[in-house]
Amino acid sequence: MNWEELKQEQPTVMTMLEQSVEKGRLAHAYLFEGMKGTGKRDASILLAKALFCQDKTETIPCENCIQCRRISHGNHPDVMIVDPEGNSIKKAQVEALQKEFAYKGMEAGLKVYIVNEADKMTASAANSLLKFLEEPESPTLALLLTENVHFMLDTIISRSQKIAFAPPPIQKRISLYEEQGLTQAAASILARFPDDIAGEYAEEKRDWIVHGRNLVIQLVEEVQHRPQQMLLTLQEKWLPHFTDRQEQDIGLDLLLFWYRDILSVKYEQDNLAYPDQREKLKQDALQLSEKEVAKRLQQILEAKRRLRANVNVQLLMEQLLLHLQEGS
Amino acid sequence: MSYKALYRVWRPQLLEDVVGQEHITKTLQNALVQQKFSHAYLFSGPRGTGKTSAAKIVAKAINCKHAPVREPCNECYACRGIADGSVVDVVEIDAASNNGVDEIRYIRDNVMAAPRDVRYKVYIIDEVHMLSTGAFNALLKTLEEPPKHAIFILATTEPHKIPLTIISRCQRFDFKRITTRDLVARMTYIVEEQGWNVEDEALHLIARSAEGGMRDALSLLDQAISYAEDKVKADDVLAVTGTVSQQFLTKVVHSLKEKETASAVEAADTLIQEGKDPLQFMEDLIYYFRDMLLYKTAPTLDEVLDRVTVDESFKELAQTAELSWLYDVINQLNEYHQEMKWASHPKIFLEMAFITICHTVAEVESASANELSALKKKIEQLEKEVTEWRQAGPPVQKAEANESTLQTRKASREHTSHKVASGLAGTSKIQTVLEEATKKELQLVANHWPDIMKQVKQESVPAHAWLSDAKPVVSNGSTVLLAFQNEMHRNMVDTKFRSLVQDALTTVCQKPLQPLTILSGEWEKIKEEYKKKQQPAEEHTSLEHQGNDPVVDEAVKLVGPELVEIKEK
Repeated sequence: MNWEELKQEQPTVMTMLEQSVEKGRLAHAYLFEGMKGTGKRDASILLAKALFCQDKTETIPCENCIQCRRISHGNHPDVMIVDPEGNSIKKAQVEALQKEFAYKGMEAGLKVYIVNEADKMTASAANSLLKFLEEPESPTLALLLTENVHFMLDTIISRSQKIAFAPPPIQKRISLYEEQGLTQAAASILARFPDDIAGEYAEEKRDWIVHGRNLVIQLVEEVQHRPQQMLLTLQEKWLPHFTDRQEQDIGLDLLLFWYRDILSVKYEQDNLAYPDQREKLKQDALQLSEKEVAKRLQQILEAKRRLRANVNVQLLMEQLLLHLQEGS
Repeated sequence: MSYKALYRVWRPQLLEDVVGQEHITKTLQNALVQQKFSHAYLFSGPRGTGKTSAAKIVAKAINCKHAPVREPCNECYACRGIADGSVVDVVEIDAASNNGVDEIRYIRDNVMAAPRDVRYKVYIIDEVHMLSTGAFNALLKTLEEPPKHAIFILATTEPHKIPLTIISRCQRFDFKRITTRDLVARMTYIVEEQGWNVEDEALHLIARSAEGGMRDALSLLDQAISYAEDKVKADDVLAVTGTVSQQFLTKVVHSLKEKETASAVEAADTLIQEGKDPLQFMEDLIYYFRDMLLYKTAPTLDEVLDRVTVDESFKELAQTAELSWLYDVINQLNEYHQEMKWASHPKIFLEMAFITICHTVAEVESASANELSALKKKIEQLEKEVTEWRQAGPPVQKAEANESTLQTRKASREHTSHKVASGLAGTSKIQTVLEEATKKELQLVANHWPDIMKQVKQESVPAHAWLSDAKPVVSNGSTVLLAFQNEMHRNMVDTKFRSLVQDALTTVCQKPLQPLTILSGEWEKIKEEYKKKQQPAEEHTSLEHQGNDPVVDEAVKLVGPELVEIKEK
C-alpha cells in the first residue's frame, strides 16, 4: 500500500502523521494500535520512508530512491524492525536494540525502530525499554505496533503518543470482494476476516471458509431442531474440516457471527454475515430471547478463550454445542 | 530531529513546579534547607506524577553551589552539569535493563570512592521494581549504611514488588495522581507560554483522559496540537484520545435505563465504526455511572466528579435513576471490563454487556419487590377472571360442554359450528385489531415470544408443542394475532389452551393480552387485503367492501377463493 491508498483507508491517522511531519512536530515515540489488517505495519514503513526519502513530494515518499528501496527490502541500516522471537519479544532483543541505538545514525542522523506486536514483550523487556523510550540518547523515532493496547504497560503508553487505527468498514470490504466475482453470501463472510486469512493470496482458504460457513448453517440448524444429530455432524464434518487451532478459531468466529446475526435480525439491522439466510435467522430470532442469544454469544467467546488455553478441541466443541442447545 | 516532546521540554526544573504533590515537595524543601535529608529515598506512585523529575531536582539541589537551598539554581556549574549528564557523580540507572546482582555489585564497589565534582554522589535507580531478588539483597547493606557522601533515590511505579527490607531502609514518598484541576492549570500555563490557541473545554477533556498523569496529559496535548488545524477544539481532542463525547454517553445511559436494547446496541455499532476503543468506552461508562452515583449522594460536591460536567440531561438522568440500579450496573460493567481485555471480539462483548444490563435490571427490580409482585399477580388474575366472566360467560360454558361431550359425533359437529362461529367473530375482530395495531406492540410480543413459549412449556408441555408452530403477526396492545401453519394446531390451541396462552402472554408482557388465532394462509390474504385497502383508502374504492365483509371472508375460508364469486349489488 502506498501513502495515498493508506490515506483513504485511515484518513485520521495519516492526516495526523502528515501534519506532524509537516509541522516538524513528530514525537519520538508512537504507539499504533488497531486490529489485524488495518495497515499499521504499512503506515510505520511509510512513515520511515517519509523521513528518509530523498525525493519526496511534500511528505509522500517516492518509493523509488535508494533510501525507500532499502527500507522496503529491510536493508536500511538506520531502520530496525523487531519481531517477536517465538511467542514473545525477549529482553535480549531489546538490549540488542539499545546497543545498536547507542551509536549515531549511519546516514541521516536519525534512527527508527519498529517493534511489531509490542504487546508480546515480556515484562522485563518492556521495562527495559522504558528509560530508552523516554529519553533516547540520539535522535530516535520509536514505532510500537500492537493489536491490544491493554496488554501494554501503563508506563509505556504514557511515554508514547497513541494512534488508533480504525477497523476497515465492512461494507466497503464486501463490495471489494463482490467486485472480484464472489457471491454476496461469500463476500459478507470473508469481509469479516482480516486480510491475511481471507485475502487475495489465499484462494484455497476462501473456498475453505465458504465451505465452513455451510457447516455452521447445518450445525445451528441441528442444534435448534435435531439435537441428536449435532454431535455426529461435529464428529463427521466439523472436526475434519477445522483441523488445527487456528482453523478452529475461525470456525468459532463463524459460529459467533451466526448468533450475532440473530441479534441483528431482532433489531432489524442490515449488514448480516449470512445475508442469504435471513428467513432462517428470523425463525431463530423468534425462538431465542435477546438474553438467550447474549448468553450463547458469551459461551462462544468463552470457548474461544479456552481454545487459546489449549483445551482439547473435541471436548470443547461438544461442551459448547450442548450449552448452545440446552438453552438457559 | 530537533523537535522534543512537550513532556520532556516541560519537565519540572524546580520542586515547586512538580504539580499536585505539595505534601512531598514541601517536606523535601524543608529537609533540604535544614540539611536533614535522608540517605535513601523511595519515590513511588502512578506514571507521570513526577517521581523521576523530583529525584533529578533533589540531586541538583543538594549539590547546588548555593546549598543549602530550597530549590536548585539551575545556573551553577553543578546544576548544569547534572542536567546535561557531565557530572559523573550523579548516576541515573535504569534498573530494568541493569537488574542483575553484578550491576548492583558495581554500584557497591563504586559508592566507596569520594565524589569527584560535587559534594554528594547521588544514585537515582529508576524502575527499581525490576531488580532481581539477588540484586535487592545485594543492595541492602549499602542502602542501610552508605558512606556519608552517598545518597540513593529509588523510583518505581510498583512499590508492592519491592522487598520490605528495602522499603524499611528508605524514606518513602507516595506520589498521588494529579487532580484534573492541577493538570488543567499546568497545561494552561504551558499553552500560554508557547503561545498556542486551545479551547478550555479541550484542556478539560485532555485532563480527564490523562487519568492523573502529567506526562499523559502533555502527550495528548502535543498530539492534539499536531492534529488540529489552527485552534485546538474539543473535537480534535476526542479524535486524538479515542473517547466519546458526553452527549453520546448520556444517550447510551438513557437507552440502558429505558431498557432500549436496540438503540444501545446501535450505539455500540456507531462507536466501532468511528474507530473508538470499546474498552475505553466501557471505562468512560463506568466513570459516568460513578459520577452519577456521587452526584446523587452529594449533589453539591462538584469537585469529586471525575469525568462528567453536570448538565441538564445528566441531572435529569440522575434524578430518575435508582441507587440500587446504579450499584448494580457499575458492578456488572466492572466485571465485563475485566473480561473484555481478553476477548478477541470486544464489540460483541460490549453488545452482550448492554443486553445483559438491560435485562438483569428487570429481574433485580422484581426480586427486590418479590412479595409485592406476587400480590399484584394475584389481583391481576382475579381481575382477569372477572372480565372474562363478564365478557363471555355463556360461551365459556359452551366450550366446556363441548369438551365434555367431545366423544360423540353430534357434539363434534356442534364443536365445528362453534369453531366457525368463533372464526366469524374473529374476522371482524381481526379487522379491528389490524386497524389499531402498531409495530411497537408487535415488537413487544415478538421480543418476549421466547419467554412466553418457555412459560407455556412450564405449564404444559403439550401446549408448547401445539404452540411451537405459531408466530405472532399483529398486536394492538390488547389482542395478539397468532398465525398457525396447521389447522389442527390452531384448533387445539384455540379450544384447549387458550387461557393458558393468555396467561403466559399477560404475565410475560406485563399487560392484559388476548390471543386470537388464525391460519397463516388466511393471514396472508387478510394482510394483502388490508394493504390494498390502506393504499386506496382515501379514494374509497369498492375493494374495501370486499375486505371488510366477514360473511364473504368466511365463505372464502370455507370453500376456497376459486369457488366464491362476489357480485356487487
